[in-house]
Amino acid sequence: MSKTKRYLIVMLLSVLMNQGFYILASDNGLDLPFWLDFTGTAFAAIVLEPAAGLLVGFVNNFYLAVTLGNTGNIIYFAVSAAIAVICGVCMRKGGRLFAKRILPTMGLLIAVTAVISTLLTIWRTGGRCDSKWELFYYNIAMGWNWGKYVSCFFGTLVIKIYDILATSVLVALFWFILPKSLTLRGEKTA
Amino acid sequence: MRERISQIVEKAEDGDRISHGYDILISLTAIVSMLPLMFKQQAGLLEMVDTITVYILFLDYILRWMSYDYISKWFHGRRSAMVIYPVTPLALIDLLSLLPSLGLLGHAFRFLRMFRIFKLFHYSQSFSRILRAFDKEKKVLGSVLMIAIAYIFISALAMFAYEPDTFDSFFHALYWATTALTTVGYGDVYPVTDVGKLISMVSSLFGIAVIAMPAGIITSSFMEEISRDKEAAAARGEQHTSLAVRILEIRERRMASAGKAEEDEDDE
Repeated sequence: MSKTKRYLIVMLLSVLMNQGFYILASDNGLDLPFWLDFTGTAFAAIVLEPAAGLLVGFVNNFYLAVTLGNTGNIIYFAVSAAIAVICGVCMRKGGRLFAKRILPTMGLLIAVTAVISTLLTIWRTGGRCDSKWELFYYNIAMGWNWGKYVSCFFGTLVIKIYDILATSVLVALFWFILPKSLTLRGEKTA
Repeated sequence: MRERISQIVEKAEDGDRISHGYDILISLTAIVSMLPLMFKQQAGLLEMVDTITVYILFLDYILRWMSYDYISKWFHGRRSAMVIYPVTPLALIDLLSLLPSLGLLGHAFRFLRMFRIFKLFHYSQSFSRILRAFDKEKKVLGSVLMIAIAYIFISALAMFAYEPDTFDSFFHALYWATTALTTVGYGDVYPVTDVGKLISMVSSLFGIAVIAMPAGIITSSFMEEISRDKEAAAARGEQHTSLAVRILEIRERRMASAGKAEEDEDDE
């Protein structure tokens, strides 16, 4: 399979993963306490390269911004970009994947995405979480008198932990079930 | 993939249709995105224009960011280019011009959208020449600017000292000095005493020379850039010509030697 064809198939699949899992986890789906809207971004960054993950993430954020009719949503691309870069850079070296780096990568993802999401939420809403599950944990923290901003971070962090764990499982699953011609399992890819 | 992206977002090379199409798309988008600024009310079609253009320009920003290690001459091949890009002047201008439309800056910052015109710098040869002209003469222009500012300041001081009742504050005196010396002269503030008018006459005469200097410097530098570009183009044309001539000479020699070899065979 040519490199161009492989890239196109994996990136298209990644975009569908982002949208499909987002709908599945949303209020209209299974109402899960996580987003799963960057599963494809992480997958593309790990299987192909970070730049591929960046483009997949952009498509996802662009679609959300258009469907929700709010250009402000596109700033959440900062989270997608962080995921693409961290996954692509930490999990790959010299064209090979390093499975033993998965735990530190997950830790870094949780920390970075929680911080970025919190800052964006503070900027947009003044520090109040606006998604159902984040608000649930936000209210718990407020009940502990942690203050608005720390509670916002707490609510975001808990959901990010669930999110990253679930995404990691899904990415690993797709890595193993997809054909070797797409993932190049066991081979040097660059 | 990133190398190809860098080729597409940068000014198109001959024969690269995709890059050429992209250059046209971004240039048009930058110009169209400023249309909503011409209207007081932003609703319906104008909002849609703003939304679509900001998405396209944001994509351009991302594509340039991810391929900056290929685009940049100073950070070529270095991963640190990805960290440097957001703080480069053109990237900062691009981001500032997008933030008002993304709802991250208040309505008062709408005017920042006009900085999208700087997108044309990437693709327009004329803009590039102007930038190079400014860059080449930046020390001289800086000195002239300092002289002009000092001159305006001194004129304002002299006028404010002699006619303090004419101006509400020193800032108004500075405003008068600037409009008078640049020959704009709105006429909303003016000296009323004879000495004040004399100061105004003298400072205007000398001020014209100070204000006109930058125009001459930039024009001269711009013409030099145009000449340099023409010489470079002519040199490339000569190189191509001399290369073509050499190829022809080699071909003729080969044909001549092939013809001679055939004659020798016939003789035998």
